[in-house]
Amino acid sequence: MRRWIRWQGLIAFIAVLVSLCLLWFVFADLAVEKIIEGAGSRIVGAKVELDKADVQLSPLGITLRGLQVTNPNEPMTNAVEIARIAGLVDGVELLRRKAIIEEMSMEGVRFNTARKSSGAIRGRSKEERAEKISLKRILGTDLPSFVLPKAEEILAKEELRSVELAKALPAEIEEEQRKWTKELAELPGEERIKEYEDRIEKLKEMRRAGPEGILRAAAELKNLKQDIESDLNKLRKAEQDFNSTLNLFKERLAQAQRAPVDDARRLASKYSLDSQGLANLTRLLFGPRIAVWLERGLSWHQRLDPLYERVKKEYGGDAEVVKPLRAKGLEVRFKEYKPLPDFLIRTVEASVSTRGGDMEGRIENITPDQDILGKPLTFLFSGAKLSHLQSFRVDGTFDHVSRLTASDRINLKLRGYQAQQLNLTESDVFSVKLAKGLADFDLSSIVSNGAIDIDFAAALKSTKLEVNTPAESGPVVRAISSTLTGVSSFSLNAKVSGNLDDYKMKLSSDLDRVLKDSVSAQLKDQIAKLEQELRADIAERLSGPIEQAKKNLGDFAPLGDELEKRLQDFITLQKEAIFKKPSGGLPIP
Amino acid sequence: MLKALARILKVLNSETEPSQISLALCLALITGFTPVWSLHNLIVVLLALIIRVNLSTFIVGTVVLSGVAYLLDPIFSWIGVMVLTAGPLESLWTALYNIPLFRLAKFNNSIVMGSLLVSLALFLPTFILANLAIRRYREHVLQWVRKSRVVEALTATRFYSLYESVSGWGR
Repeated sequence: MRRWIRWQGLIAFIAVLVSLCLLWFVFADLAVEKIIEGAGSRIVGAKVELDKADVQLSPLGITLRGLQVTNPNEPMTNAVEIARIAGLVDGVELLRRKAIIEEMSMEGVRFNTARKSSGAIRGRSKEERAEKISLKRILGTDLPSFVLPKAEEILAKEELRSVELAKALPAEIEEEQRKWTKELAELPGEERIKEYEDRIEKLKEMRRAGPEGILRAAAELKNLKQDIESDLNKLRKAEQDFNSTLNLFKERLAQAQRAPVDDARRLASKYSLDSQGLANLTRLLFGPRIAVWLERGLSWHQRLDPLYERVKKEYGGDAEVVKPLRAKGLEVRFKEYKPLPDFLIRTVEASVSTRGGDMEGRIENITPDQDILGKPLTFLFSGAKLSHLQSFRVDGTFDHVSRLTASDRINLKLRGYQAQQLNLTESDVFSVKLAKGLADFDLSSIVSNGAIDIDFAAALKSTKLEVNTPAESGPVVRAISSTLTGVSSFSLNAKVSGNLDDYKMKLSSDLDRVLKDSVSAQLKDQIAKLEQELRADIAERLSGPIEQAKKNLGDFAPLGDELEKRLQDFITLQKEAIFKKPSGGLPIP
Repeated sequence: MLKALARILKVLNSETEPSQISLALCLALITGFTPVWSLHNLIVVLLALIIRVNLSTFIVGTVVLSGVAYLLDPIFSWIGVMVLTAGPLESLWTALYNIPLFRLAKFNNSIVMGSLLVSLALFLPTFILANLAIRRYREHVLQWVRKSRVVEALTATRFYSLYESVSGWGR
């Protein structure tokens, strides 16, 4: 036995074990710090930094100090900064590889704080939702322009389909004329009538040859009738086709003649703030800002998704394969006698510091395995009598207990917010700033199975809007500017619906009516003038093709007269020659 | 202090019987193939240290086989998933899953399970084949290698004499 055992090895093993424990003791804090920074940065898409992590053994717990989460859209700003996070970890559950924190406290939570250095992650090309905002997609239309362009500028840009069609019309008429001339040559005409007259003469002679001739004449007469009827049908069909072609050309000519009016109206409306555009100036004023807020909110919703749900692949039975948050390979989970999520923070008590004062908050059941816990993530933050705010309350539920009925709800109520120097619109045409105002906000948001439904309402009073316009602004912009400057209260409603990747936002405000009234008078004359210029220009472009088309139509129409004449001749032949009672003899049946 | 360390190393490296080298290689198969920070590797390391196996072979074997394992991970993972999701074994895995020690051993990770099974399956064949190979090598190839110019040049270096003084290989 001694030959196979070396007891010195045991000493070496104990030495290695003790060294590992010592190493862990020395570097555990640093390791935890790096793990949190790494995992956080991966989730957020920008730097997550920690001043210090402190792991304690008795009782087993963790304290994090100076957590900074960079706003990925503004790398020089922290989306959130937390002075201290502390919590106790369940040691027994940790042996089962489950990180269970019963209660965690967050102190000194602050939002939108400045960073000393950029928090952007180098070489990272994470697709940011906020960078891809398409206002046209979200708002359903392009925002109208305040500067009316000149008619020739519009027509240089626009491809007028009416002009293209009008230009093609003379050639098409000419082509049809050729076709119908050829067709007429093939249709039954005078020669055929002559043939029929000869056949009738022969019939008369047959009739005179006694009873046998009468019988032969009756049979031949039947054939004759069928032939004439067949030719008549051909002519009727041809006349019908010809008339529909002629009517089509006439209609298109009429359309081309009307085109200047229709096109001028359409283009003037497109390139100006027409009544429709005026009816929703709110989109112009608030649309871009709200769209950015919305996209950022949805972007955070997407980023924080791993905190309340993770992808699982079921293999039948009670086993399911779960992609682990860290490490390689796949973890297969089995039924637990006492089911618990791998990661769970039951309660987080947070103290949030804002410029206006402190707020309290509580988050419950943070876990990516809500299906195991059987409870959704809930949160509630509230504050009252703050320096810039009368009261604030935001609550929500991220319910992913069942994948089929998963839904995320957030409700926000904000009362008496003293808004100051809030930029609403920034564009080359003008910028609007809410210099001051007292605002009440209500928001209700539901995201369920990829569909979103958001209702937002804002009521502002005692407002002072500041509008900056360039010196060379036109009368429309000046009118809007002067109207907005005089606004002292207004309300705004937004409704967002659709899918996460394709949604529409409807905005309305009582400002629309006020702005419409004041601006429409200014705009009316300008639009009328532009429309007139456009009409004249388009009419000039169309005059040549229309004249040519009229001439060609004048040459084409007589073909119809010829058709009509042939048709009448055949009808006369049928009536007079066949059914007429012959003089001095028996009528032909 | 250095003397004591050298003595320990000498003792640890003094086992040069074919079976001692083969067993070291077999143990290295487990530590090399399976993820390093697995609980079962503590037991394997303890065995490698207290059983008189050749430690140099164990260390070098672990390093080399870890590299090989990196390439084989997808296969290990596939085997692991197959075994862990096999219907007849479900009750066994479920029972183990509810024991903290086994959870700590990460047996339910596909790579841990797959690589452990592969290394255990290869344990005995490797032991027999390595034993045979070492004996053949010593009988037929070793003398030729020792006389080769490369080895002669190597044994003439100062590093070799230092290594020889502690490893006991030169005995």
